[in-house]
Amino acid sequence: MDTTRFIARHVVNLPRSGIRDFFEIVAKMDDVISLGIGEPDFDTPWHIREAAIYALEKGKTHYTSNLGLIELRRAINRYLEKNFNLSYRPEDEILVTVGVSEALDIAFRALVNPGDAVMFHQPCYVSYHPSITLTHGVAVPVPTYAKDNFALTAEALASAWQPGCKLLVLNLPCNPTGGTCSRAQLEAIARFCVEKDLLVLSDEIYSELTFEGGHVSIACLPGMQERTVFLHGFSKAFAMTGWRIGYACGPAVLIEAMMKVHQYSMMCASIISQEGAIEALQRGADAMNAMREQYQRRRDFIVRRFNEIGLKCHLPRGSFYAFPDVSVTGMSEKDFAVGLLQAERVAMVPGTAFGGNGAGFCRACFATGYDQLIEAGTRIERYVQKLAAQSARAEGPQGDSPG
Amino acid sequence: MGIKNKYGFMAGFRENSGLMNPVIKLLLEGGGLSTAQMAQVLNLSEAEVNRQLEQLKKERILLGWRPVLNLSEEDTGVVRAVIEVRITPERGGGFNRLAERISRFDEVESCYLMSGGYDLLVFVSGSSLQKVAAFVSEKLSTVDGVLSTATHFMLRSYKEHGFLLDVKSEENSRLKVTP
Repeated sequence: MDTTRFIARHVVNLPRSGIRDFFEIVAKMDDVISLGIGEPDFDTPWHIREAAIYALEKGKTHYTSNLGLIELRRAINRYLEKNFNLSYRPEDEILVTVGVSEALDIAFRALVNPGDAVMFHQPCYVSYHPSITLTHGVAVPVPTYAKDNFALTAEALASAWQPGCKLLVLNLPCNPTGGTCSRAQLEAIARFCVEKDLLVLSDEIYSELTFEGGHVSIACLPGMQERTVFLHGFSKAFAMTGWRIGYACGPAVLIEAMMKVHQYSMMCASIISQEGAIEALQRGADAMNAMREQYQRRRDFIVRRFNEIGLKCHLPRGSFYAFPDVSVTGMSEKDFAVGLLQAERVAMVPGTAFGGNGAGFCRACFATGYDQLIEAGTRIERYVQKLAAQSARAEGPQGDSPG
Repeated sequence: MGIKNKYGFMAGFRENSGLMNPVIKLLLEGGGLSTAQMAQVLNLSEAEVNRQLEQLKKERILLGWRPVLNLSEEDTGVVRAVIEVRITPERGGGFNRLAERISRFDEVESCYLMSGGYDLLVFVSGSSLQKVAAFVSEKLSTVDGVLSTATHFMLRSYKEHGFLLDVKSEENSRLKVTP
């Protein structure tokens, strides 16, 4: 029996994640140094794990409010006041979600009518485009460029804009490019949003991992808090990816709309993760700063190595991703990544997994130990040199060919 | 092998970590990097890393190197004890002269001046219980100015210098590629 006919049309047409394809090649190989991982190599700091264990021991095994534990929402507000210059009412402007992924999904489901256009910058996290498609929205990618260090510009927004655009998704600092925007660039984007009456969904999951200049949320610019849904979580800064815990903050009416979708699908985030999250916000700053400092040293190292090797790489101001340009080898990013994996067993994710605009680039996550990064650098260098030697041979001796 | 707290969380160190030498930071992270690897990470020559290490030694910031071993008493025959020592402070030097004198014994691994019910906390080791006991009764408690000692023998270690001893190196359970 042909069971595919039961699948909804828009899901049949949904492409698989390019990362998934690449993962399947890597999974079959041994001794791979993987720079393809999108998560911290640190385990969650012990005091957070211990708080969750304690919560279990105390019988915290029940549903929580749909919005999440009020203690956690209060802690989130205090954290945002202190670190983001943002303030939200814990009672009705904060919703605790199962990671930012769920927050995004319910935001789209609560806000997008079929045919509404949603803008997002590209290259970007793999799920934006499909999530928009799943809510029958129209995805409008806005390119970012290496020449701007992959910051989103208001000019690019203006040229991609089309009538019917309702939402703008921001992810700054950005997975996979590490690009982020200066305050001035954000102000220009904010002006554009006001002019075109766009609501912003701002996914700031990498914000604590901003290395230079500090992070500015678009929500704290004048007039923007009322037109921004701020999305954040614990996965990256507190090394809590597997806990699946995040939150959305915004105007009460929008949070209420998102809460309806959340209530009927997820009910509430895991209480154990919520208890861990409270501990992270209250006492996690030291461990988080120590991790950020290490990421910064690793970034400086790997970016320097890419440039030494001849793969031009901008200095990502945030996140734990480097996004080197591999086009100098004359290969597509996919051929380069597959060739590198086969020849030297180093995994980087081809940039096109993050949208067509990633062509010519690969994503290298530097959330891994120095010894691995050093070895990866050595192997990538060997591979690039081999490619250069091959292409020199293919071109043959110049100028003295017999007549 | 135990597992070091990998992000180098060392209480007390980090408040002034901004001032700290990058070589020391790498050492404190506990990655066990060679000087060549440190040189690569910090974008210095290996000679420069060695020079900085020498300088740190000269300034007596870096005192030396010790391996952290996970060996039971049966493996090594080493017996360790913690001794609480009460001493008489002296005019002029306070506790220092006596503390230094006690510290100089080979049996003494570490020695700290403490607040509270005793003055010095002394970590000692020896090749047998008898030898440690003899050190306490014949050497330590007979030092002029030592008022009393209370000796506690260590039965088992769980953590040494930031390394957990009985936790097996966890299989790396991270997926190889994730979004």
